[in-house]
Amino acid sequence: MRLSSIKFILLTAMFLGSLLADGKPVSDDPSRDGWKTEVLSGEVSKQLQRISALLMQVHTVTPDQFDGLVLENFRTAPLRPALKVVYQDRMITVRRRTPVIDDEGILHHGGAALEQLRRPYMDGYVPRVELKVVGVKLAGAVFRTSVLVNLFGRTPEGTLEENGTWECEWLLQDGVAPLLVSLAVTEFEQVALASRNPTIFADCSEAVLGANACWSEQFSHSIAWWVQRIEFMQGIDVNGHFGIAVGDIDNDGLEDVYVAQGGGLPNRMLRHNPDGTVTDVSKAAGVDWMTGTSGVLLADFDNDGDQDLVAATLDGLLFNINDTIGGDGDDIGKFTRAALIETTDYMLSLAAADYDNDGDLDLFACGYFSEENRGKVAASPVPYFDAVNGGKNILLRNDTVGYRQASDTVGNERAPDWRFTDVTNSVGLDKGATRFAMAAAFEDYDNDGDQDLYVANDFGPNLLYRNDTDASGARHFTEVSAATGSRDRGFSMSAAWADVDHNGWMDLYVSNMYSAAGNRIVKQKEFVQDDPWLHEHMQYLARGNTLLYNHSGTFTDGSEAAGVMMGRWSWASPFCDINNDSWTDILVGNGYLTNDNSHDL
Amino acid sequence: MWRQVLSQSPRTAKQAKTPGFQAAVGEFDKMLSRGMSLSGRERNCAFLNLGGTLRRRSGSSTGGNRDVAGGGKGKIFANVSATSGFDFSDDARGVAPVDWDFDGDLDLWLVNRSGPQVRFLRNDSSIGSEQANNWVQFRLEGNGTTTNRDAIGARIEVIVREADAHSPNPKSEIRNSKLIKTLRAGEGYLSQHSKWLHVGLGSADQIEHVTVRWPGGDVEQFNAAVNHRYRLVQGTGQAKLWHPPPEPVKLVASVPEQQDSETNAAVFLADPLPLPIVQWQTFGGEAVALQDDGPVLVNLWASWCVPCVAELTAFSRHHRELDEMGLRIVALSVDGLGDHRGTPANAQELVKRLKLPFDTGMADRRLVEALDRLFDKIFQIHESLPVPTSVLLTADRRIVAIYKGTVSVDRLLEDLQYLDADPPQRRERLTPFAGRWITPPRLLPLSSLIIAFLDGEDLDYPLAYADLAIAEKTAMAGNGHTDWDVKLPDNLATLGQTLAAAGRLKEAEQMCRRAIAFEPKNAEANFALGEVMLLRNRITHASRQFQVTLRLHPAHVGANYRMGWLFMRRGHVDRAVNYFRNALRADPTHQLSLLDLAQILSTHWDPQYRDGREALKLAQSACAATAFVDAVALHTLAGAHAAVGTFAEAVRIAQDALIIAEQSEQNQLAEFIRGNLALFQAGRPYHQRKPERR
Repeated sequence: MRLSSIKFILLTAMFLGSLLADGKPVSDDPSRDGWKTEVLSGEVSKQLQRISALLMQVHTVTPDQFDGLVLENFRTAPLRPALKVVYQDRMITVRRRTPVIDDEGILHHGGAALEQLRRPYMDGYVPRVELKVVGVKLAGAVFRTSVLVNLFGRTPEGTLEENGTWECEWLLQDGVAPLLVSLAVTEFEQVALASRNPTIFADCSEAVLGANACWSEQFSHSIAWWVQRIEFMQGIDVNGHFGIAVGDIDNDGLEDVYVAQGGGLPNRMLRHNPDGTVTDVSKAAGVDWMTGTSGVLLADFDNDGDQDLVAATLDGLLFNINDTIGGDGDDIGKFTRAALIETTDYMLSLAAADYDNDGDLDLFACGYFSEENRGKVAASPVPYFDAVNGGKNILLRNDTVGYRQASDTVGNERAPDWRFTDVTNSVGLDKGATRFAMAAAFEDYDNDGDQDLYVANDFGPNLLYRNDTDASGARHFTEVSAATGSRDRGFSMSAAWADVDHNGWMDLYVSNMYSAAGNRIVKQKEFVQDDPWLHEHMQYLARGNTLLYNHSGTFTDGSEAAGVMMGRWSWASPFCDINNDSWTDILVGNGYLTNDNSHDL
Repeated sequence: MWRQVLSQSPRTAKQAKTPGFQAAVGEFDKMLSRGMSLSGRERNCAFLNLGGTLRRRSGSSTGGNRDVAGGGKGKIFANVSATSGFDFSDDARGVAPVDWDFDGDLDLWLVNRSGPQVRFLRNDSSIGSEQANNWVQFRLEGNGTTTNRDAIGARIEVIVREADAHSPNPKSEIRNSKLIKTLRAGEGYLSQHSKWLHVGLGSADQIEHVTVRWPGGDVEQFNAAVNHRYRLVQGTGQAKLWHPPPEPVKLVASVPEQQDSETNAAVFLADPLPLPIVQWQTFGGEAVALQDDGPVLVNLWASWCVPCVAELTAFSRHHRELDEMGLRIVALSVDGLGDHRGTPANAQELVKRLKLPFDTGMADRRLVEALDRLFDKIFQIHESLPVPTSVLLTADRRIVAIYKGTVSVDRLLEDLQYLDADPPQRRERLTPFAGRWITPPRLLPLSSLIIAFLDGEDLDYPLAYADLAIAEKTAMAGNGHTDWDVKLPDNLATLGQTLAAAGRLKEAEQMCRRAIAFEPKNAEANFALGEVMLLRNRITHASRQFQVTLRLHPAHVGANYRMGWLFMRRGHVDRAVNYFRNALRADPTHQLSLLDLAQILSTHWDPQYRDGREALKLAQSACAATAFVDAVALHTLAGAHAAVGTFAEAVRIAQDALIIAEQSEQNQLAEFIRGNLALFQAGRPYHQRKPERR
């Protein structure tokens, strides 16, 4: 979800600086707006921080450290339950708790319990520990919390990652911090990595990018830093939605990288060098566009054998033709501006495919805000969960004429006439086209030989458009999300396809929002208390990401069984087989706005 | 955010306008622009597919597409977020996998909002390649006529033979499995992956064949061996081996440095904004204002601020140079302004000690506030004015450069050369990097500055901006740009209303007339003039204005209400009620309409106009909207209760209303309530007295 819409709309009272110390401080104080569970959550979190600290300290945990933390007679079953192997390969071993819960097992008091959990890490480095409250229930003087537990650290064998859930009961007493009465470990999973590297991926950013000025001068700074230095009117977006495209621009066989940037910062073309580093060739390539850019693609739109560039900018969809083929030797890896299709709306992700199977690539652009024209006011999505007042999605049919055959040599007429026709309405993609779309991905989900389209909407349900030819032979998209079971409802930001279970049908992973705070709150009775239907509906919105299993063109929500819901405020969430075992894995890029003040709203 | 904003989530656009929701969003917006985080510092996640299929639970009766168990081992994916090394606490946005170093596994490019904005992550799962998993990679090429050259949309099926039966991990075996991939351009979010189709094969060591379904309909089969890369060219039937460059790729892992520590910023504005009033006080107590005299650097400093002292010293040392460039320096102390660290005496002493050769004095609160507001407008985020802060002004008092923190003399000298640059040149100077733009710089319509300054007590700035905005729009129209600053009439009307509320009725009237002159068909401007006329007691004229407004915008809430109010005063109940109902149809929460209509329905002398039940509903809405603390609303509610006969409630509520009226010293109202209270206690409703025949 992008709440920057609110920022653009409400140009209301900007208040005075701290220099004048004027006015009341704006606060996010739950005790002021009457949410008792949030206050208690805060107090429990403080206690959990003490437990984290105990887990991370180097010396033995002593009984007195539990004063004011747990009840004197507190006992718990082992915090690391008995485990069995559920997956093993050369590098990775995954263990989970055995299904049988041992009633007559050992009961530890606080100190012994923590010692048992810490033990594997004590010969390596102290682990990183995170304990987060994700569910609460108040029952008189007893406060129950669900806590997500995460440990990560090194051991002599490699690294260890442990994720679990604790169901805790706390006793509430006036004027005293909540005391832990009981703790049950309901979920526990351990991943052990046997490798001389601490993790599967290693950050080699500096090595790859470091020789370029843009690395230290542009990329190393956050957008939060840049918005303090570039006028808003020139298109720098504090929300930081700038995309990336991989493609070989100079036909040397090595794919290069194009990085989009906000207004006032040039988009960067990074040429892939044979030694694995990159060189910034933006200016020479002619694609150092300063206009704020969101989605970008590198693809061969004129079928001449080189990668053209299309960018969704604040001034419209900008096409750049690659001159490598058909130009002279000096034009390798260079682009000429070909066409600008103006859009009044603010567009986000782009996806190209040949929707009409006529041999050339067409372009789909997600419309997010309508009339996002600096100085004008963008429409705020209302209602949040079912808005239809967003920017309009666009399907552009490629009608570029004058294709050159691959065999054409230098000297023939260059730069065919680049023309794209807006066919959104005529193919039926105007249905549901204004639901604040963030992402789209083409796939032949019904295995019938044409490209269907899934659109992930921020403020409304997602839509699946099935591509068919009608009786007259014309292409038409029919919206079938409800009929196929793919109508995911959350605030969606990403759409990815892969065959996750090897059944020959492409499955879908959609990223949404999972919020610990949100999850705690949407389940409380105070939340939209006068509207039970809305209350129910809103619970869905904080639930997390969705994995939809496809079988014969019908989808089943397998998110819970798969265990892939907890992505937090998720953005790009691609499929990727990271360990080459043929079973496709999932990556989730997340995090919305990190500013100086780290207290989470 | 969850508590305040979404918990008051409106279902309709109308509901979105309710004061409660707007207030919640406004507060939230403030918090965000103040630099609070929202879902910040979240660690990226990674889930490892443990293999397996989703099996339906037999006899599932729920019917819906809900998930079911995956068979005995628990969840199908394991959380490997930390193990993967992908779990940065960045504000991640795009992710693009590509085998960058050609070692047979997928590396990642990431783009973030936080720094560093770009990351490259090398996949090390193929390291130590004894028993590394197998893979194969394909780059497809369509014929460029019936199939697009890139072969986007192609579907490949890789059929692998049964692997060694003694494989240590049954899960990574694939027995005659069909592995399918589709080539896409654009997926995930804002991302495009590599066009090489990468297929992990686990321990499978033989590929039966690869089938390619080309977009356009052709189907072709190729042969391939594991751990190789192939180009598959449509129509050739022959997979062409492809070799990566021979250079070894040796990249060293490291932790990129965070670079946001630099807090100084020199911002040369592409769009210089006016600062019409610059006033300060000399140490002698004399008030001074900037007139139109050459470029000026207004510098804000404090005696306790060490960098300020250094900066002032530098200015002093280079004063002649700067003076020769025509620059006047005005260095104003903020000592004592809203903070206890310094006093004007400290400031004066420092000036003496440093022997500063240029103008100095004490900054006034108003100037600092003005700069604060302008900065908020320019950067659309709020941050406190740092100390020092400087602004470089042209002769006509437009801000061309903002210096947050200290500014070097060198930078000043450079910027002075660009004072008269045109907007594209200025824009080049704004950003630290060169590049190409698509359109000329966007400029902020000046009337928006009227609004930015309207909520203070001081109307001088809004009035000054109004003059500037009007002059600018007139000039633009003269040059043929007739659609410049389309909001000017609305904003002038708002200013008019504010002037009226401040009792400056003559100016208010002038302002509204100017708005109407620009756009005669502007409903808000016409309405605003009507309100002013009302305040000036020119009822007929006011009425005419409201009628004009309604012709332009029949559902205008304010105009409908006013017409209702005017008719009510004249005793034309039918028409009054009609207008009030119109207003409420457009905005069911319009407080004044609710109250006035409720009054009529409860208390009109003629019973045919009374409807106690409806009055009760309306009054309850009005009270709820003011959280039951508004005396007038409560009093109206009491009257409505009396009208339906629930006198006990009437009495109780009237008593509450009375207390509130007394506490807020609304004496006339309190008197009136007292009178009514007596009636309610006697079990009688209040009715207006029937007017005597004239």
